[in-house]
Amino acid sequence: MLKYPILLLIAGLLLTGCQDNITSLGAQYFSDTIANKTSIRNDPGFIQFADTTRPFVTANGIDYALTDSTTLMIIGKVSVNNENLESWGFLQFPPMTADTVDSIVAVRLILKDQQFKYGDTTSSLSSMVNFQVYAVYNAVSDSTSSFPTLPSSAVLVGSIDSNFADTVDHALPILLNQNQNAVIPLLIESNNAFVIVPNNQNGTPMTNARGFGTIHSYGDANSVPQIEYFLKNGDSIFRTPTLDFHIVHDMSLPLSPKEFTLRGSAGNRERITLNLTRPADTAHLDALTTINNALLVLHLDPANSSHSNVSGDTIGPDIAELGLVDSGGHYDGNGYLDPTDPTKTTYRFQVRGILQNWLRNPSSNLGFELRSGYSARAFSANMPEVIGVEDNTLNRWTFFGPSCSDTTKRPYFILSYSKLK
Amino acid sequence: MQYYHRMRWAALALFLLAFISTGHAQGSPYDVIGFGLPIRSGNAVTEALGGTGVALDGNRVVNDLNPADWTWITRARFGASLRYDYDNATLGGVNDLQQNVQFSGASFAAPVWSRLNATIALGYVPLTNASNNINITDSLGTRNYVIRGGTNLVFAGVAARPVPAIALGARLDLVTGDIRHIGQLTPTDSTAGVGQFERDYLFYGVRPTFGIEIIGDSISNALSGITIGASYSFATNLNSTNEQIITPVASTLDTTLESSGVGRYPAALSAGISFHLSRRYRVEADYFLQDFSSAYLYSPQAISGDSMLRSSNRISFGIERVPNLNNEYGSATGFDKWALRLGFSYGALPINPVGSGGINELSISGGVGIPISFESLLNLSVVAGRRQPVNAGTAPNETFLRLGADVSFSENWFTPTRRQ
Repeated sequence: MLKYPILLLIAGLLLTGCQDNITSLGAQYFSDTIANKTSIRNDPGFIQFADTTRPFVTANGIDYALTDSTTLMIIGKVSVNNENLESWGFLQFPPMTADTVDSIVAVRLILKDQQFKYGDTTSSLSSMVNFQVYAVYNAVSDSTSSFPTLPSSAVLVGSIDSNFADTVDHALPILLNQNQNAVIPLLIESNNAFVIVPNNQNGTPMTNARGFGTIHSYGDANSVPQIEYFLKNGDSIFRTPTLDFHIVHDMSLPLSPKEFTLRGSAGNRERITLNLTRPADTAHLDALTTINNALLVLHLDPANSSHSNVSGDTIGPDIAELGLVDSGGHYDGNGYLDPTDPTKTTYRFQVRGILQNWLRNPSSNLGFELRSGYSARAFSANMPEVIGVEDNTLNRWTFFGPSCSDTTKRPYFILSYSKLK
Repeated sequence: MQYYHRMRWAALALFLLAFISTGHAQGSPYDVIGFGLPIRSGNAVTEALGGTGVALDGNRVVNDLNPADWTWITRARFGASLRYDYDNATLGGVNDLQQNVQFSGASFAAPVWSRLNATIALGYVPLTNASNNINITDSLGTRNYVIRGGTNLVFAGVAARPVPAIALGARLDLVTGDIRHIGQLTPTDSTAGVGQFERDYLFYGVRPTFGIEIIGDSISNALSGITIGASYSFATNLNSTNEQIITPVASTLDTTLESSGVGRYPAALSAGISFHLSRRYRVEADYFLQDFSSAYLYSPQAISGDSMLRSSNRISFGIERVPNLNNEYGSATGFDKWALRLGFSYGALPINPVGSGGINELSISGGVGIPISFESLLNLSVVAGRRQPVNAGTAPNETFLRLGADVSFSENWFTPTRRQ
């Protein structure tokens, strides 16, 4: 009798293995169908663009320079085509005791060369550095210091003008024994700093900005900058900074108001806000809508755009969803070059997840930003807040804006959504 | 020992087949209407007999059509059944072929007082099947819908014969169900994300069912061999919930909305008469009526009914050679011990697609009851039929095949209470 259940089982297996032919025949009687729609949106009632510059972040109520916790200190000058910028490096070291300072006969800074170059990255001049080192006395307490120009108290204490090839140890020495009287006070007291600026007066002008390691280069101890004290007895003492960052001065000609630009390290961003649930909106989006596609399409102005030699910087700008505070924002992807565009100037940004989240939680709709980059950094030593910043790049991305006279270059949204009927 | 061995294998086979069913949620295009298509019975005996069974007068199954029939159960009895459906629907040039395997019920009954032939029973059987798979592809993408579930009946009741000629049964029914409409959108644009939607209809209601059998053998010789049966299930108002679940992009963004509402499941009346042509051969004719025109699955407020539903009826006829398990009809071996069953039915289904004039169903059936041990049977059924609209060409013509299997086995429990 065992054969019957076995036969039954085999028959069941065979029958359920038969080929199905699933069609739409039942759809005519089925009410819970999905309605999906795709539309192109660029109407200002739905999407708004706003230029914004935010060169600092706020953590625990304190404003810090955007590059306070960077892993790359960028110093140099780029003045080519439509671009004119300088980036200055700031270094602060712990004070020495007076007795130790008395025995110091010479000082030098050691910057650790990194691969990063922005500007001229192709000619032999790309290895040229022409730096001046200033001592800024009693004026730099932390990265909240801001120097549009060098303070009057700044004293030139060193310089280098040489073809500095990439070396194995990546060390860049700057002798400081030319002006002992200016340097010695920096070594004893706090609130002092060395400021390294590109030399625009003498020698061979720089054609690029170069990246150096910082105290936040945790992955490579050899990348941390140092100061070396040469003592009378022939010994040397090395110290690492307590603070290092860079500040970018973008002196490029103003852009046409019909364009917007994103600049790394300078905090030039584009804020985009979307009015998703406007009652009069044709899409009638709500919490039960699924966003299948939300592609922001932008057209690049290559004449006003540039990127570094780092391969990661060739990818499109990043998307950061904004929070109520700086630490509330988060990375949501990056743009990518539209492979079907023969001009290689069309970038797409997928913000499906952001829109979906906003529909579920409308109060979180604070807009999102396009940034030149995004790296999560911990600001503030005591109660660190992790904040995403574009602090290790100078990339400049310039896109045509919504008022561009060429309507084919204006930004637009490809919005696909679905919901149950 | 061999008996338990066989039982174990039979139970295992049924379990495995039930497991197979998880891979399928398919069925008739008509299954998506209302509560789905009605299921005549949870057991293969009734299926093989064309849907008859109101006046079954005992056939070693826990009868889910008429509780009064439980009075024929003389030993504790378990039943479990499975069903396989093959639906081949055609409308215009579109052909839809779907199949489904489903667990089709489980039951238990035990005699508790022999003087009154009193028996208690409980069980679960499906009342409707709402399983279908729909695929729609257009320029924007593909939408796949999986509809699964149906209406279930969980019952418990008692039956007895206060006088030898009359068997009465009463049952408390929990009519419950979860009909799930799961839709998935896969956009044509590869950069776009999928969307998954689900709308579930959960419902329950309680109703009483009463049954009667009048046993001619106990009235007069002139009525010998005749049994008349009837049962009536009251309509029930349903507590219905519409639950909508949206799962876009990331599951963390699941949204679930619940809306409470009401529904209505209609009363059902069935009546039948059976007659023993000889000791082993019997015939039965049944009529079944259930008016779905005021029924509906879910509505936020009470409504008059679902326009796609209507009154249903069915007339069915069955003939059976009853099994000769224990040589009660004379010495028999092998195939001669088997039960043989044939049936026929015709009726109006409760679904009424717009413009169709309603859908009618015609079917023939057959089956066997194979003894697998003392008082235990493996019942197999096959039903083949056709569903078609009154107004030709307005709704799919459908050919269906339904296979059923149930194991009904018994134990000698509770017999110390039996008094001869």
